[in-house]
Amino acid sequence: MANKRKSKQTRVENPAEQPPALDLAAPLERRDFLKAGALACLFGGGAVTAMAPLRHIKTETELEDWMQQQYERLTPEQIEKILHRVETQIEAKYGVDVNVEDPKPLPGVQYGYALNIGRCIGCRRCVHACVEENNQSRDPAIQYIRVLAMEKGSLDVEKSDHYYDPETVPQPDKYYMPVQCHQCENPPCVKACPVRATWKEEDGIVVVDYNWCIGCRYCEAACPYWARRFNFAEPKLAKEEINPQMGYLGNRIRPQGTMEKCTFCIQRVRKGLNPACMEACPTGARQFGNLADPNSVIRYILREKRVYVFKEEAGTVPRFYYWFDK
Amino acid sequence: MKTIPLKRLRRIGFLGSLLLLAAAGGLLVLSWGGSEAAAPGAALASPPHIVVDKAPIRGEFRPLRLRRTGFEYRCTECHQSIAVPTRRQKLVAEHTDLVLNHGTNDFCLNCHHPSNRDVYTDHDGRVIPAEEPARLCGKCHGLVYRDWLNDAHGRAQGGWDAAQVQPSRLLCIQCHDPHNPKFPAMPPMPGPAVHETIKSGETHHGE
Repeated sequence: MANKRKSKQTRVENPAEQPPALDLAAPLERRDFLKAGALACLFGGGAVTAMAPLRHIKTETELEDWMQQQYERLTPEQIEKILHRVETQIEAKYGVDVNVEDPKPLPGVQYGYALNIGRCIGCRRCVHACVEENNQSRDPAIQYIRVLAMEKGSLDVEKSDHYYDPETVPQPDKYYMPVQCHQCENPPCVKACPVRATWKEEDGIVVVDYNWCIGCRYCEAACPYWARRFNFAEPKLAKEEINPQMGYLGNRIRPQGTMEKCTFCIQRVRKGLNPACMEACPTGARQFGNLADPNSVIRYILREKRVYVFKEEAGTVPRFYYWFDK
Repeated sequence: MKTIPLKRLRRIGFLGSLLLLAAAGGLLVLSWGGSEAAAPGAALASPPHIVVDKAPIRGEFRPLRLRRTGFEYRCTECHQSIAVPTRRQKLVAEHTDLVLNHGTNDFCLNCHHPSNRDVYTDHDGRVIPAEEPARLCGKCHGLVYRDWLNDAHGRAQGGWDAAQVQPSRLLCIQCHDPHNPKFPAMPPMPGPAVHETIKSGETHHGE
């Protein structure tokens, strides 16, 4: 090193004495060469790091996934292409033929849900019908509906238990209050999302763009009803457990690292069907309908029954009503 | 030592940096899609496959018949030759398998028509057809009957939007045993996975 510096100094000090000999030019060029090499390494390495997410991309469809825009900015043609791509991805991954659709909100429809806590017996049929319909991961198990076993004569959820497991239900000293997404009019989860990966649709359903979600889980923390779930692991489902009728904003199999939640079975209700939890309820404690239609069952219940909303003081204005009549 | 022209050296330097860039690129390509778990759908030591039975707990509506050893009899086949009782009688020969646990309603002929056992009776003795048991129940359970007519009582069938999917109603006796109408207790399905700390009784409050 010292020698090199010396020879450089020599060259600078006595330029006239030095013929344009190449043995002196060589170290200079060598330094330039090394500099250029180091720069190349730096930028090359930087480029590799910056493009690190691409390292996990193996197919062209995954690249398209990565480049995809937020749902609300997509054109119908783009959505059409994306639905097809999601189908092929799920088919390749799970080996099942699926049909992914994206039904749009129906005009003049505002969804509302009512649950009669006087009828609910806490059998958890709704919980598992939901899992069946919405393709939740079975391992680790994700459930959207949490049935709280409440002490009779109390509305204190702090004293409730959702792990209850007696021989039979109902237990004589308990009543049951199932909790799922309330599709709030004023949803704190939507406010908490830093990237607008979750929003309220025109018909009142709060949805998640699973491709846009960055997995920060702020929405989970913001929800006062603990209605949001996170895919810590790649969802695991056996082939025969997969419901092949999927909705893009609803029950399509989620990628790892994204939030998911109850959507009132958006892929069903926008086609006029009832949510799966309601269909499975053996006691008929659950009712669903169009809040904008004065003749609907939900409006009948709001008009005729003693209705309350859960955590009214949180100011979330839920669309999920509890009622009782006996 | 053999000398190399300056121009050529510059070119070597330039080519060298290109080479290094290419090497960096190669690193990217080599690590492309490195390690990836196996397809999650494939061979999985899976938890039990849970299927929810969505049929009404007492099944399809069945007409009013006596069922014995695979045969069905209309009630009037026997009762047309049996006189209408004028007072309460203890059942000794037939129907002894019935347990009547319907609150204060403890008399057969409150519901079954005294002179025509193939139908039900209204308060004033008028006939309620056997195909319309809800009208019979509505004799006493008026508020529930009103809710049922408005779809607010009983489990949902079909869709919420009649324009797309025709809704339909279940009949009372598809869920309630008319002789023992209280909704039966049933075993609950599995709850959420229990975390280890919950099993051991710890909480994060340190209570």
